[in-house]
Amino acid sequence: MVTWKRLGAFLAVILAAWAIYYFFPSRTRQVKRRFKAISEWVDKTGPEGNLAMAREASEAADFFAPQCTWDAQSYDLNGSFTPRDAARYYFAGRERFSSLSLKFYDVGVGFPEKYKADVTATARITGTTREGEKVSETHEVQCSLRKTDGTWRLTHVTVVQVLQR
Amino acid sequence: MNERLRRFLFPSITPAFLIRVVLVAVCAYVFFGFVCTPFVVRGRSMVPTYHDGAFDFLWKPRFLFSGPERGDVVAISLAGDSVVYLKRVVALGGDTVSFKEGVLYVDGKAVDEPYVRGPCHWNLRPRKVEPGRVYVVGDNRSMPMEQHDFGQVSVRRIVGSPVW
Repeated sequence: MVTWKRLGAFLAVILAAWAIYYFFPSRTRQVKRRFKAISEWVDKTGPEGNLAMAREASEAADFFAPQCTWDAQSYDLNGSFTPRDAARYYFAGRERFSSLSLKFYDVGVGFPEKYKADVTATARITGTTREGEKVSETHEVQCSLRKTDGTWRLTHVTVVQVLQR
Repeated sequence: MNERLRRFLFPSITPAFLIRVVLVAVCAYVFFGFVCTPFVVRGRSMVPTYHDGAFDFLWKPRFLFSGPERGDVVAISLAGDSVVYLKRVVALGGDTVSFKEGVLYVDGKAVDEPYVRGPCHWNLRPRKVEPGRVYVVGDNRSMPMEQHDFGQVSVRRIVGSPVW
């Protein structure tokens, strides 16, 4: 009887620890979850209807601050963009690709201020265009995020040029 | 089944046995996690030396005591070393690099590159490699230059080289 009680207590402690870990994530985990959500937002595995695409594109405001600056020379993306601009790029990108995947690796998070996060990560984009051409690109990215209304949103993205011609 | 084989396949779980298992696990974790890490090649930039999907190990202590030399294949870290670029060093800091009709020139001299196969028509104006950096290029020069990631990179980003 005592053994069962101990086992029950042990399981309860494990469950409580898991619940705390899952429902009260640290700031680092909150930011990492945003990057996972961005990956899922970008992923495309098959044909999509325009309505579904438009609905997903409208989620851009969840990920990007009202003004997000980009410094991505390799993509000719420089300047300040609104979530509406991001949605437009998102829509155009998905139109071009029949499948698309974005994965983040080695996500390192720092907090220079309470509601500001600096993130360094490796972003890997793979996909197939509608013409059947395979695309695979890997870049180091440096991002800044700010927490507003309880949500971490991107305020700045730099695509680091590791190899400089 | 003879006794020795039986004991090897079905060992008694003794404290000594458990210690051995833990030791082997820790050594394997350290060796394959930090010293000689397995990786899979993704992409075509190093064809024909390394093909898409090839399996290899990254030997990290390779450049602990000496810097990379021309011709070395190196792994270049990005934000970490979960995903790395695999490229060949063609020039060192202080060298001047250029391509003329697909031929690599270092300090004005044409370089023989037996690892490059297939037609290449790259043209790149001369540029000097800064000190503390190396110039890296993939072996697949048949692909358009615009689609190929190459250029100079800090030596500090080099994290090892493939075992074979």
